[in-house]
Amino acid sequence: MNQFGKLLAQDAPPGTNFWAMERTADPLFSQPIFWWVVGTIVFTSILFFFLSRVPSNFRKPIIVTVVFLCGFYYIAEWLIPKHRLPTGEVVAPVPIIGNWLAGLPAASSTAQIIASMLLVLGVISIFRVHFGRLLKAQKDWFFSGILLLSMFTMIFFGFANFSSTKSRDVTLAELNIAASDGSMNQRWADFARIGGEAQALTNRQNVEQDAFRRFRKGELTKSEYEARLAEARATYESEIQAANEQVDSALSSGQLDSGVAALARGGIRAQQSRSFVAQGQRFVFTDMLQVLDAATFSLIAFFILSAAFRAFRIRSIEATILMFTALIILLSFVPLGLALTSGLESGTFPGNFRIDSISDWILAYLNTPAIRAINLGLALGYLAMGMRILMGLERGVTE
Amino acid sequence: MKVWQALLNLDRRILYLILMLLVGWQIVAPIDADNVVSAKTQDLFASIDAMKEGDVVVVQSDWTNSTRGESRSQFQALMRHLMRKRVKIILTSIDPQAIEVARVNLEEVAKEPGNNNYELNRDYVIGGYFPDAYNYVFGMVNNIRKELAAKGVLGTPVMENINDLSDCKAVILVTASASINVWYQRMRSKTDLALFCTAVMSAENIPYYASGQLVGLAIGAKGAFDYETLLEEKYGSQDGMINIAAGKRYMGPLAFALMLLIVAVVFGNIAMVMVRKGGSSS
Amino acid sequence: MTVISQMDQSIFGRDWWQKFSEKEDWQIMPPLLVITIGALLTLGIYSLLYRENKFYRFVEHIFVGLAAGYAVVVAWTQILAERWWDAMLGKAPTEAMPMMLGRWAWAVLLPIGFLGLFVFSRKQAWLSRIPIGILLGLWAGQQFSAFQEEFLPQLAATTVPIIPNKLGLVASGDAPGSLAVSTAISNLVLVITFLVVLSYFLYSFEQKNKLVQKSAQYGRWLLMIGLGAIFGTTMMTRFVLFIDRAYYLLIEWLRLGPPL
Repeated sequence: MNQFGKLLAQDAPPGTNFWAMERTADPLFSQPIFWWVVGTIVFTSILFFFLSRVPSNFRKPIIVTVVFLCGFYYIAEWLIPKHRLPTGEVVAPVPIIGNWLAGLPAASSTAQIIASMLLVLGVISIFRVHFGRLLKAQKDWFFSGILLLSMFTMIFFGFANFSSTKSRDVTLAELNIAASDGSMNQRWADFARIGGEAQALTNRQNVEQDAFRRFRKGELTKSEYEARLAEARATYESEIQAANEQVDSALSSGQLDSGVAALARGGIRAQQSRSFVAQGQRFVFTDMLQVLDAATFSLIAFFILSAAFRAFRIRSIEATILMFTALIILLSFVPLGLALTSGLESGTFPGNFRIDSISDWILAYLNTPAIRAINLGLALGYLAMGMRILMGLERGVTE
Repeated sequence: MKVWQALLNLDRRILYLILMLLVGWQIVAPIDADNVVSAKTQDLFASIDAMKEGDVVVVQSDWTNSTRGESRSQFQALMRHLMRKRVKIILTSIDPQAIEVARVNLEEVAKEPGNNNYELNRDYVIGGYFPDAYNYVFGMVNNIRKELAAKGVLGTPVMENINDLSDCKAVILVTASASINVWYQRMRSKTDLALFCTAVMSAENIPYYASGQLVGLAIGAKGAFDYETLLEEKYGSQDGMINIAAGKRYMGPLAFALMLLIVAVVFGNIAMVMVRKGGSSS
Repeated sequence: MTVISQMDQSIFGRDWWQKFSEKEDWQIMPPLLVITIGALLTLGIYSLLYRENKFYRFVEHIFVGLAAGYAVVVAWTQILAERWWDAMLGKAPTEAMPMMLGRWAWAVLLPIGFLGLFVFSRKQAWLSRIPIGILLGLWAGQQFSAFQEEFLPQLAATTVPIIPNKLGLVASGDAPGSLAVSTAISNLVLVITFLVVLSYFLYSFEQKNKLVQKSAQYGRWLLMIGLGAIFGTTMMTRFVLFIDRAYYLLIEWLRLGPPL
């Protein structure tokens, strides 16, 4: 392959590949890759500096070109024939182009990376607004303070837990290596003990939950319930002891067998999930954010109910049709509604008038084509919009 | 006359209170009703029930606790069925938090009696989170081993005979978002596609069931209840197995909430007609 | 009698209050306290149903703060860390993992992303259109293949047979390819519905043709069936979400009834 070909072939092996560089365990700033990255950032920034100095009548053509090139990538990917072999290799009429078009992940990564960066900038602007309000002690400064506090709590626990799971994964990988050659040491023993305890705890909690459920349903009396709890606790102690004995024997023989390795694996996971940062992350995410999310979405049920009462009026044919369909669908979704017509034998002629049959028929033969037509209308709209954007006709984008 | 006018001017908060009381009462002391299983769920159940011990399926779970009401009971019912059939599971997600939620629920179900003590890597693998739905589906369809290579699952018994997506018996999605659309576009009929979705997404997915692209479809809490009913029919005689769960529990409150909605609309209309009639005659 | 002893477990009983201090050694907070905090937040959201109030605004600001923080965490941990930072700088080999090559060209995206900040500048605001333009360009380019792969199969699925070759109703023993009268009628309904709803969408130019006008009107009616179904199923989801919250409050928190 000639020099130019090398430059374009992004999948060439390292050494001959212009685009990829090796990374070693040395400090980052002593490696060429780091300086290439810094150089690229500086170079691009300088380029943008000069871009900001171009006369204003060049601005629109620049943006239109950028937009067109980005869109053209996907069009080329779609139109140029190519075939990916089961080995992952791409066969295209022009191999170099084929390689670049097979870089589809790169294109979608680009979109996601830029979108994420813009998202972060958006959060920075939220910060600016509320931090300013807090500093100047303007109206509602207290609420702004609460907002910033919860934002930073989430960011702190999110990142701390992220790095803690990363180091957990490293430990797990090391354990896998140790398990493959069977060498046991004190470190794995400690993890295996934690794992044994965690396993026993999960078992105990499951028994306790089951007993509680049965007790609340009246299947168990109070004394039976308490007996089960005591029994679960006794099993818990004995399971921990059994696990410890297993670990001790592995330690004395120096052999890391698969059973102890499984315990250690559980221990590594349990230790991470019991750490302060993991608990904090679970608290702010699962027990606060998701709870708030669910509560907020469920508010809409109330608003729809009150809107239906106030505004859902049978004044026109359209409204009547809409309400009648909604009613049939609603009835078909609750057993009490279905019970109204469940006397009609399905598979016979009257069976066609069961609520579930009517609802299925409406969904399959009236709703389906209507949705398809809506989709087609939308798709044509998207297509037209896409063309307008690519040709630079969409003024909101270019001006 | 005055009654109708008062009804029209009813404070919305009274309506809210009635809804809360009805739902609260039904949550604490639910009323039972017999179920009529929908054909869509029946098809879904039958296609999974036809699988044999040792078959492998891909389960993509894209819901989090914000749609717990519908999705959790669907997911748990599916897991119970797969585990009792000893069908092996490759668990994936395109939502970063959903994979954790799915893992917790799977482990919880695995410990129930009758579910064969499903064990990580022996009976199921966690393929984990994939950030880009488009590339993930493309990769799964074209080269499943390469797509899962970085997830450390290839050496497990689950993946033993899986060289291509067509070696899996089905791809089953439990989702609260439009994550199935990429599968419609990219599946290339390599294997069956099945869906558990929230009710709000059903209208847009039924066309794909009608066209045969989906082998079965369970919709919302009713779909979960249908699935639970079918499980109960099949496994109800065996001791200790949990078949009926949240799907059924939520049917009572749902029925009363919907009844309230219907009553509200009907009375709203009657009141309007009556007030207008009174207004024109006087 | 059992009812009373069961109520011990609920908020009206001693056991419930004891649970407030019960936790494993490693837990920071007792599980019941965690649920209580979540329940108070939920009640804060629901207090909006009564009227706008300070408690609601307090909870609302917690929500917005957490969501904004979470957006940053997801942006980095799920996308930027792996697909940008690691891809750009590569990874040194470790005992367990081989080396990952670094592709330095990803660095270009950092200055491009920062151009978004120019949206605050009055003179150079146009520069912020470059990152947005890239996103829009990539979106626009995908629409062509999306149309082909997603919507054309839907069109194909709408071309169904409408001429029956078998009299009577559908039966389970029918030979493949046979089309009963009832199915043919249903199929005809399907095709007509598709066509008239589509004709309703031709609103962007004036419809002078009588046939098109009429068909567009029927189209609107049939469209309402689709919208009615969507409305019905939306209600369903929202109600179940509320029911699930009621379960969370009454059963998981206050323990007023048997759990699942």
